[in-house]
Amino acid sequence: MSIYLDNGATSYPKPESVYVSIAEYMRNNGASPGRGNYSRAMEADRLVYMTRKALCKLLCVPRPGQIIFTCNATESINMALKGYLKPGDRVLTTSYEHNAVARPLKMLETDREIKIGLIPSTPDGVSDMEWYQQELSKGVRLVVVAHGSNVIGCVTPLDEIVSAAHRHNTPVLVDAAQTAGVYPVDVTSVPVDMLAFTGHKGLLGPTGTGGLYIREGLELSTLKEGGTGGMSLSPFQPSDPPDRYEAGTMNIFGIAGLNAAVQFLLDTGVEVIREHEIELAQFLMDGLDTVPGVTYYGPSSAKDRLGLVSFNLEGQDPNKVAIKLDRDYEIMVRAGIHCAPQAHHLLGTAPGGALRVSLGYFNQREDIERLIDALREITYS
Amino acid sequence: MFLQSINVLDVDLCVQQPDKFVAHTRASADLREIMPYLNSMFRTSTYNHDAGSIKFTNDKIEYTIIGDKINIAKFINRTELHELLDWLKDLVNDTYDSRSEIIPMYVCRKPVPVLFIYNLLPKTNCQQCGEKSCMVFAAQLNKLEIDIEACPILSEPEYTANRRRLEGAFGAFS
Ligand SMILES: Cc1ncc(COP(=O)(O)O)c(C=O)c1O
Ligand code: SF4
Repeated sequence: MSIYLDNGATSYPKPESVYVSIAEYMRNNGASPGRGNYSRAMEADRLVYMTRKALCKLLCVPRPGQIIFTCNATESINMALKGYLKPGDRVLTTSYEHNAVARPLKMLETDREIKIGLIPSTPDGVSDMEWYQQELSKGVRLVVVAHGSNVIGCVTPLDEIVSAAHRHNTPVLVDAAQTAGVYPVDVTSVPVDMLAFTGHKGLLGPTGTGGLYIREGLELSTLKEGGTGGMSLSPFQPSDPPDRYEAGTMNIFGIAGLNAAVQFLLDTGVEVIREHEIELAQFLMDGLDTVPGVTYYGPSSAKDRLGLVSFNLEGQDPNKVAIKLDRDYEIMVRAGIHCAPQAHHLLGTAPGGALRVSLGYFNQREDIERLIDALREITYS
Repeated sequence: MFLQSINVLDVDLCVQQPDKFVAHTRASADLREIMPYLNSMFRTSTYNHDAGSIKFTNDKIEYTIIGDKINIAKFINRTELHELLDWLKDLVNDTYDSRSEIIPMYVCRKPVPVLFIYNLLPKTNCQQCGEKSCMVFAAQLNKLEIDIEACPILSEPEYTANRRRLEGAFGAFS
């Protein structure tokens, strides 16, 4: 049986209820939410609302209208950055961002002449807080941080980042692509201003789903305008969220799946999932320690990291190892730069990158045992 | 649970405020039984016991309930509609569960004359309430289409006595 260890890219498998919910909706409803006055369209509306509400519960968001549906974290981040930043603005960000943050910022550097400051960091992903606080006092319009790195596996201390930024009235945008669903996220107790998430990773939903939380009182200019179902006579986009930001027919099949997925997470409990991932990650790191020539990156204790570990085998091209693992052992891991070149520069692993094992709730110890056995065979061959 | 669900039948533009919506919905239970209790809870309710109908305003949203039919007016979008339905369902169920603690009110409050209201207002015509003048505010309050709280001047200390009289006239916490 094949072993899937690339949950950081997208989670697999999904809870059974996700498959059932999508198929059920496709077959038996199929209507577009927000459009039409027949009962099935009303049911579709309710489904979208219930999904927002479930996400509110999971992420501690006060009101459903503060969750904007998008097609992934990348769209959410683009919506936030391009809707908020103005020409000449200064932005601070970490040294381990995914391209979903780094590239839109680079584009805005050219288009709007924004200035980007990278918070210096150790290879373990520990940011230089003194530097950060000093820079904040010079006037910063937005702080953008990944909650968890998809390469290093480190977790950003959001409370410290947010409280320092708020002392200077600087809002914080968080990229929770790697944490939502697998690590506690609470936008009420740590009052981030915007939080981007994707539906298909830790949230266990289908691809093509995601969202942006925007705190009450913060208004972004829109990335797109178009039909919202209501107020169709008005030539302008509605001013209130979520409709303000949700032009166009939404991915209702995806949302049907996401609704079931988030319900699964709420029923299971993020703490339970987190515990499982800590246990597996520690088991994985202990196993890697027994493979000759392995260097793994990021925090050394599983409690301080996400359930993903990047590593290299001495003298081996990570890409070739990944291909061998797949072809000879049916084990799927991800090799390369993981869309986060800055993180690999920090680790000193660019340009070849590293191998990344990213665990999920449905992985078991046996999966890791088989991976470690395979890696041992590869190193000895 | 007394009220299991409220299903939306249709959503339309609001005639009074064309930038808002109205919805027709149907409750899974007939709500006549709890109307006298709701009536005693809302200062702005209009209750007709014989017809089995009640109308009240909360947070600028208008609710009209006739038997198991509920119309909701002046919400901004469908997300807000569903939030309001959740709120209403909880309110109905909480009211039902605590009905032994609430004194039911079977009669409709008498309308308070516009001039009586007007004479107690600050008469600055400052429009902070969102109305064109204090007289329009008085007329709206007479129809229970605005809340006393909408006039911020009435909350200033020098208007405490006037505000109390107004609240008293509307049968609230006097
Ligand atoms: C940290 C981080 N941010 C953003 C993204 C982008 O997610 P998506 O491709 O779903 O937009 C990813 C996923 O690859 C990620 O790991
Ligand atoms: S806010 Fe009060 S004082 Fe001002 S116009 Fe309205 S009712 Fe009159």
